[in-house]
Amino acid sequence: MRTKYLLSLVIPVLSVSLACTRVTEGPDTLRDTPLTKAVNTADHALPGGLLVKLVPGAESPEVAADYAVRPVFPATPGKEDVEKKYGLDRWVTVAVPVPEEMAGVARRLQADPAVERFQYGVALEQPFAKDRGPAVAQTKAGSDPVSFNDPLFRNQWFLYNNGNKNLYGATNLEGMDVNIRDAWRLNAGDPSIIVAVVDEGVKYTHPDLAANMWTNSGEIPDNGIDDDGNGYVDDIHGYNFQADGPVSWGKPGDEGHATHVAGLVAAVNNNGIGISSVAGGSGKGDGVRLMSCQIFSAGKQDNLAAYARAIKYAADNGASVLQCSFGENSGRFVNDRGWSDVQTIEKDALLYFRDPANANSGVTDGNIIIFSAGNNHGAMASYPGAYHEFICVSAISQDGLPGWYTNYGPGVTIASPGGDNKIEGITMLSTVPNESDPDKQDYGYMHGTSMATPVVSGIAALGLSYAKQLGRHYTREEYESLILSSVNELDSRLTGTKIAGTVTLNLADYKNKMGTGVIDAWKVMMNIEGTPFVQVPKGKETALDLRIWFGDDAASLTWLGIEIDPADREALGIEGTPTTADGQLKLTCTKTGCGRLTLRAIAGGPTLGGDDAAGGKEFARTVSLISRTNTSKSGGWL
Amino acid sequence: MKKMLAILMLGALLLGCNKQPEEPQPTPQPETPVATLEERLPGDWELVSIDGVSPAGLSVWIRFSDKKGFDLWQRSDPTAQFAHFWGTWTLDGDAMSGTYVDGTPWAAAYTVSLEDDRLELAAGGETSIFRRGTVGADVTDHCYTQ
Repeated sequence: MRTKYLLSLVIPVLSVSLACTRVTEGPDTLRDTPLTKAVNTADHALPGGLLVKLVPGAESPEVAADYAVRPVFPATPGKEDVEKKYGLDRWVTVAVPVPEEMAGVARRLQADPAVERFQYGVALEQPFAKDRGPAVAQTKAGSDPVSFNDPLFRNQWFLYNNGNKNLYGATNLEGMDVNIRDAWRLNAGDPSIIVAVVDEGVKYTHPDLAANMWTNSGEIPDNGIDDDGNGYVDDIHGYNFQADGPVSWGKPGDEGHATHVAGLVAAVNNNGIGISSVAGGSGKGDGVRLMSCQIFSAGKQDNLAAYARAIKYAADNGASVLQCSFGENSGRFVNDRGWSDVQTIEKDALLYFRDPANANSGVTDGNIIIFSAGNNHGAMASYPGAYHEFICVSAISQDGLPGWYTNYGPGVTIASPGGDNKIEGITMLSTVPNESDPDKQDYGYMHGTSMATPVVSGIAALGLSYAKQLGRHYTREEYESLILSSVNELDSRLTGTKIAGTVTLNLADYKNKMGTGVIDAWKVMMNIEGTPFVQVPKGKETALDLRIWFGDDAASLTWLGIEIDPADREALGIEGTPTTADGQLKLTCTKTGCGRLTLRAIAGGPTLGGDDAAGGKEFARTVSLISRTNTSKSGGWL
Repeated sequence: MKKMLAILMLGALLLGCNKQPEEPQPTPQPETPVATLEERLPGDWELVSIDGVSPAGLSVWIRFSDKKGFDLWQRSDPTAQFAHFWGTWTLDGDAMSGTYVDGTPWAAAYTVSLEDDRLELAAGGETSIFRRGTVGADVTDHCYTQ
């Protein structure tokens, strides 16, 4: 089958070569036609071909007579409707092996009524720092009260920071972690929750990852056959979409990035070796699973179609969290329209992943997308993370302050530990492929929003695991709001300066620009357990602390409004219009009763992102209130 | 002597005549003490209404133990976990007060009225009505501690 597949590629290439003798610059009548259907320019175009979106009902572009054309996405049985919804069935690639012919093909596509739009291929950037720290040898566990027996847990300050300044550095802030040990008491993962690592290839044989790798049960390893008919041969733990083959790592140009990211999400916990991870289980085979969707290979990402295919593959094969530590350079796109007009196929695939028809966890009615904000030290997030509907992660270090490199500002929705290599101490320890490690070790340090993002992805997956255990169900928006409001306060520390090596950060620049706060796993679990039981005294104006529902930085949020169903307003006897200001909800209830209201706010900055400007993401929490005469300070009924 | 005997016999006869026909008498039973409020209170109680209103979604269970302890489970959203509180209670006449385990006193001292399986707690013009029941394992096994 593999041979057949390869042949099918060779034959069109040959036909194109033959066609080249006939087709050069296209019809002369089209030479000056503006390329209004082109969504980007040829300035930074990668060689190889064009991506074309056909109009509904069209079967192929006119250039198919001379160039090899094939669908971008394999059709997935049962997904026809949702594929059509986002037009994934209308994307084709046109192979143009001779760069000089690209302009002529573009003109023919412009003139073709079957073509809706087309785009040149462009490369993506991996926003991670390559100057990673040395790998560490395994050490005996310290005296810290670790929950699991993974010996390197004590080096993972972002999971549990006990204030060890000798190890974490002089500026370390005790407690600057994601509060994972408490969360593990409730749940440490669920193997039915799958996190797709869209990145380089994950070293699925790594001793601290292998047991938590997703395995495609419909595929027989290494037989060269697409046993499950999903369009990909031997995709056991994922697929290398860049190279169109098996997942790879350790080749020249590979950084070990995906393996590091994967370890932060779900390295196997409590197995007596290496590190712990956010959602790696308790050592009983109960970690969330990792799917390797490889779009960078041997230092290359020159295939936008491959990237889009990877996203669809994740949706079609069970992933409920899309972990994306990459993006465009900060500033390349400055609003949603700019990004979505150019990266059309990417947006189509991402929206397909989120659609309720592709919901995979059984908990949310749509899958969750989490992007890194980028490492350009820029005052806005990179796209696609900056798109107003995605969760976009900035990075802090163990001093509780922004990492020197992190992007901040419009588009950033939440902060998470990502380390800082320019301050004293250690950065983010995780798994690495020893093939690409300078010291040939299995564990190493990296820093960046690339590392901050999988911590959030892991917590999102952990929350899904716990919600599944409790039988909870959410809309995707509800669950994203729950994540964005499960945070610890950050803004009060953002005064003065931070010295990071040769870089001096003016911390006021970051105030209210790092997202809703720093992610906290315990708060996620508590928010999943239920809405707080909040009693308000009947007949008195009451100021409720919005940190209960929106996290510790609630006072910094910009509020979009309050919605109250008329029946709830009547039940509570709410007079006038409740208000939100300075982190408080003020209202007066005049009746004994129980009711709900929904508060909407902006995660990340004072304005919402949209077509005209990058900005924050809307999020909402629904609040249950009980109005009565007798209210105890303990919160209990009596 | 004869006269004396006659008097004695007459006396005996009179005594015998004075005795009424015997009616069946109830067997004396030990007196049943009326259970005190304190004794009747222990058990599980479910909130039915507050000030005549049955708030939608609200669920409150209280377990009073005979050792003067209480457990309280409550939630305001049917999809949420129950929050669990506990502490101690005292009764002075029909006035009941209590303290949560963290030392926080109850919101009020309640006037207690208990008839059959109906418990009424009133304070500050607010009246909560409870009915006797059994707290389910779905409540006690899946709660979180407040």
